[in-house]
Amino acid sequence: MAKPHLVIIGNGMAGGRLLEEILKRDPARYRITVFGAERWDSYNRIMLSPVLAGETEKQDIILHTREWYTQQGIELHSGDPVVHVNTAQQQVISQKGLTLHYDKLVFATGSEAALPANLPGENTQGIFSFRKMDDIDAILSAGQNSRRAIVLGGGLLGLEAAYGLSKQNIPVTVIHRGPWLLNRQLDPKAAELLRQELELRDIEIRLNCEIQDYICTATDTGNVLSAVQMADDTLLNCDLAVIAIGITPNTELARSSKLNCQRGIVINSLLETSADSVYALGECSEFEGETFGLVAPIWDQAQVLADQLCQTADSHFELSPYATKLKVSGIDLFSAGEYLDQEDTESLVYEDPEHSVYRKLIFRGQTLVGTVLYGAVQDGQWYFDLIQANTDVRHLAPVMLFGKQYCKALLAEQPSSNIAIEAEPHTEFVSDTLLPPGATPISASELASGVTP
Amino acid sequence: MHQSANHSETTKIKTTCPYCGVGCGVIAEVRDDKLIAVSGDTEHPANLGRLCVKGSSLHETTHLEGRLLKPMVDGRTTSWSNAIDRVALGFSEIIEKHGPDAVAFYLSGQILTEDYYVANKLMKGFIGSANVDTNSRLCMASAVVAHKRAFGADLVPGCYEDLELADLLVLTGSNTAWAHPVIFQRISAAKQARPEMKVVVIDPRRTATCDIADLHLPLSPGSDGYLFSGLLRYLADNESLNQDFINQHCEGFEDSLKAAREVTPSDKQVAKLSGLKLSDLQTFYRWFADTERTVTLFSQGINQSSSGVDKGNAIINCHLATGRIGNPGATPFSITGQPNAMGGREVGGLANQLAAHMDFSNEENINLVEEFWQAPNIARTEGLKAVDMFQAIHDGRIKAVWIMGTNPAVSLPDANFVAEALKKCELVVVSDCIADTDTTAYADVLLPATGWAEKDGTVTNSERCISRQKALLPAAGEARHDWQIICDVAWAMGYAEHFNFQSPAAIFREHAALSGYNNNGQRHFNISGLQNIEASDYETLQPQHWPIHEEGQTTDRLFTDGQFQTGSGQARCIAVAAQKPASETCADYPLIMNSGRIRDHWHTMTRTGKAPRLSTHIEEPYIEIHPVDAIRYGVDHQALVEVSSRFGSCLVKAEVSEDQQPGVLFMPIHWSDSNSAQAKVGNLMSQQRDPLSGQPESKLVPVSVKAVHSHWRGVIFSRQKLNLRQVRKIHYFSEIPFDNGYRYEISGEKTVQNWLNSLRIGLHSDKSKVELRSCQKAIYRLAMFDEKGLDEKEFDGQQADQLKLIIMTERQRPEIANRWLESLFNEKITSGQRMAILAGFPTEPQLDCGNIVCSCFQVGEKTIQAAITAGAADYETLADELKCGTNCGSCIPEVKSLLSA
Repeated sequence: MAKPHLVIIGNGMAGGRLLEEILKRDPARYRITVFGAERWDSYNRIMLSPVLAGETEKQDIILHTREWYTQQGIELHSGDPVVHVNTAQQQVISQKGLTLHYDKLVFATGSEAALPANLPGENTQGIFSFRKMDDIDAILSAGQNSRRAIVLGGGLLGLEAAYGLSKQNIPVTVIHRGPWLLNRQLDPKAAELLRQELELRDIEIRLNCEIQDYICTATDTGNVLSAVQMADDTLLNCDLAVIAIGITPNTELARSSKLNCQRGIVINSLLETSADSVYALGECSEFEGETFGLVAPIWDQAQVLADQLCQTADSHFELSPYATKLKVSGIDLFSAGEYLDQEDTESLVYEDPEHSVYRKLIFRGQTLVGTVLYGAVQDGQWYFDLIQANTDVRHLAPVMLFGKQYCKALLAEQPSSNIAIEAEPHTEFVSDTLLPPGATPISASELASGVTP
Repeated sequence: MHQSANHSETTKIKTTCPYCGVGCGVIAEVRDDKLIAVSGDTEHPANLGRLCVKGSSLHETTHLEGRLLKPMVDGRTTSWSNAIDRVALGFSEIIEKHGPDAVAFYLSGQILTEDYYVANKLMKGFIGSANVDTNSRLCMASAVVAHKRAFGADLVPGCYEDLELADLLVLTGSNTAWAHPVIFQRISAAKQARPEMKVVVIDPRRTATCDIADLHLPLSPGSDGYLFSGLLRYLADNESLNQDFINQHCEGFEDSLKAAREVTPSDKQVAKLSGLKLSDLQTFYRWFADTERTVTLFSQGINQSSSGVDKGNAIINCHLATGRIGNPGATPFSITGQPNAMGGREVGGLANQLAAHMDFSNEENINLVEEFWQAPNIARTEGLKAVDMFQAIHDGRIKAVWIMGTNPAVSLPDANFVAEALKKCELVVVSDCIADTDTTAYADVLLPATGWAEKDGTVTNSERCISRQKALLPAAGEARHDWQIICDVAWAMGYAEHFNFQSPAAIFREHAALSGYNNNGQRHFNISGLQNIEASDYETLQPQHWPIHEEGQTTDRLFTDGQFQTGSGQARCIAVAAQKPASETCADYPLIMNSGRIRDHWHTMTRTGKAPRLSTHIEEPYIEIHPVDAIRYGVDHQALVEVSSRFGSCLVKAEVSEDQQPGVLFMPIHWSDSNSAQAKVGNLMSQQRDPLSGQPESKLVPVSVKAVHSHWRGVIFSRQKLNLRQVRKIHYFSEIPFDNGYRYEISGEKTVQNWLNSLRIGLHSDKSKVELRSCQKAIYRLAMFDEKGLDEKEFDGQQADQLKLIIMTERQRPEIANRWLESLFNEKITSGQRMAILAGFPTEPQLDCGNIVCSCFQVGEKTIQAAITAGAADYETLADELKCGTNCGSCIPEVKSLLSA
């Protein structure tokens, strides 16, 4: 009897991770075919910003080479996106006309950069998003003679892009609509420390600022960006703009295939879409009203879906807090769970202004629900574990603000607690280090997309 | 005067300890005008080389911080001549207007015999009043009167050796282990050498002294009189009297026995009155009856009572009835609290004495002294005793008082009354070595006196041993010796020729001469053998017990011939009607508060407070309370309680302990307004006192307790001394010195941020700080750093600062490693340590030794417990490993209790 055919649309990180999880469980179960829109091998999108900064080479962020697919017996069609899905017939048709029957189909189509509505026409030179490997070459080549670049968006992706540009000796200004940087991850105090640090690195920051208009100059080669006009009518000369205001789930194919979509492809806790035998995961998916920009929940999705496809376990996907860090060399920053005080929360704050160290823990009742760390991020993972464990930790306050090593005695007093001492997989988040699966920083492309238009 | 000839060499000088009445010989090592080390003098008869922890820390108390260095008048520094004129003129004017009884001197058992002598002479012989009293009134005045009644004079019959020679040692009203540690060590060693030696401890509390007790009698507070009254009857009923001795050497025995039978007709009755088990009581009585070599050592627990004199006599009666007096290992023994209480008594520096063991009861004595002094205005009647003296100040009869070397605003009962009195008084002169005490706050004239290491003269300890205190260091600032100051004032008042003393030796010669003047064997106190002592011999005077009829003589025991200083030569047995304490509990004040010393502090802490390690044993003022009472009054261990009496209140921490008996509390006497918010035990005490001795009933204060809620509790570590008294939101604080700073245990009602500004520590101007906040939970932690010059900032390649201040508050007292945080004030702080400081403890737990048990070697409870866990099974092993208890030994009972825990 022929093996059932599993087709995965998308060769990004979500699809790649799903492959690994399936191979771990039951490598012989399926005949597998993967379609990828990009011409590149599967790569670690998180690491695009170090590549932009010139700190990492492109080949170093490749996750799976073509040879790997061959070795695993997986059929890979890169640069050949699927253009049509017939769920009734259980068929997919690629751009190049390949038509395949599937027994199981997975949407892993990822997301696109969100763009502001007032962008000038598509052929304006000097305006880029920062999403794909190809974007890097485009930005760097345009940046060679740039006198000033702007980055639109002071989120994780925007700041990493600004850092990358700055590292390439391109003067850069970050234009951020929010009242403080990383306003989806940080509280104002930590953001202010970050702002000061970035300014020290010659990255200009403009907060509470929106671009009203992109001023272009007509040249022989077409329209070229030359300045932006702010909401207060001030002008900022620039010849390069990187748009990093968020991401939009890539649902075009799913919609045309009549799958139920909201912002993303709607899935249930088994990652099933509205169509039989059709699943979705990653940044294209939407679960309980949430879309995803961080790898942590996506790694979880990959496990649940692999369990489902291989029938190895009856696992279910659920929402949980996530952790954030910024991959800028020398800036240690960690955020997980809630990051702003609420009426029903209490926070513990540590500040060392002279050394630019800031730590905040947020509690709701007896449990830790969030943390913001700046300057001293060791223990970030421990806090993250405590947030996810959702257990009573108030007996650890206020000492826990200083880290797990100060809580040994207190933890030992409560051996029943599931937060008691265990082997620490990683006690410190180091910038620019790709963390092992499960300990999850977010970055670049995985920008959480609250700012999605 | 001591002058070190060669400044780079260490000089060893023999002197005497300034603390308790044991009077230990000390060898001081001085180099470059600094006291660098002290050790026990093996040749001194009092201590034979031993020193307690207080004595061992003497060299840590001589730094100049806190010293009064210049004369001050009305809050301004001034010249000595201005200050002396102000005192002399002020006293003279008041005497002229209101008579000599409108002025008074209030002296101290801390000043030297020579100081005492000139003060007493000036007041009683020249000003013409006997208003000279002393803080000794608070500690052994009852014993003085008991001695006078029984022996005809204030005579301590025995010597310390008797404590070692005794086969039965009765310790009553004395926590010897803490209050007289070297004596306790001598007793412990003797008992170890002769385990058959029995020790009975009579004390309402189970104290550290009970560690060596064969029998502890936890009697009801104040019932000691019944116990000894009953003993006399028991001795009579059990054929244990020494009838020969009674017949030949005693008078009044029958009356005394009759009185005893009336009040304490049976053992059962005594058991009932004293709250003791009949069997325990009878064991004690039987041991006493059967043991010829019996010593009864008594102290403040007997003296500080409304019937303290009677209690003293009840004890002496038993010794007279058995003839156990004047013999080796057999004597009643009053041990004094202060280093020179005895010297003051010898000089006559009490309102009911005249001079040289002569009093006002005998006109001949008055004439004798008048003649000897060529006194123009000899006082002929007793003056006012301490409490009466301050009442007279309060009601305006006394308008000028000169307080020397003591802190009555803390130590006298009813402190609020004393404060009022001093506030009202027209002229308050205070001579002291310390600038800021609760008493100096009321001074119109402040005179800087030399301190222990600078003073030069003699002291007499509890066993009549005269020893030299030597000047080890030059006078601090402009400080002068007390005798010099008094003579200066005497000169300015017009008595120059009678106070023309050039040295303490000259004063001592006159004092010695007076003791022998027309003595003819009538007065036991006779040191006339020293009346012509050369300055050089005075300089090297060896410790010797008086009487001293000729140079070099020493007299270990009195009454060896059965002759007493009564007219008849017979000792008097006193008919004592033992009674209850005058202070009784009532519905409003249902508990009895006992008071006393702790191990490592002395009096009002003005000097021991300067040696940080002496504050490591017991850090904060407390009230000890039995668990039953703690439950009854809702008091938690270590929680704040308000203790109130009719006279005032205190706010201290509760120490819940079964060492107390139900209904009885204990509070230490050492804390004052200078180092705590409201922990002055004198606030609570009444002026209730013994009618004969005038000694206050400080051991028996009816009080109530109430748990006090603190919104938050916390701690401050500060390099600078802070004035928390000005911070109204802090309702409790206690200052604990450490090397390079002060720790303050604090608590309060409002949140922290509300009072930080009033500390005036530049909170907002200083960027170099780390902070932890949680507004909702009152959690606040702050550490501030001193920014140092660039050259100092590099420390192992890291930026480094010095700690300036740490504040930590929380609903509960933050659990932090005090000792470790304190040690950081000695270090440069690296950036990596900044967070650890606010965490409050090191990640390596071995750096935290816990509460200090052994002050001498700074061995902490956690260290000892770790050693016990690691296998140390007995004290000797611990001593080998950790050295705890191997210096002064006063922590041995506590180390042992950790072993048995």
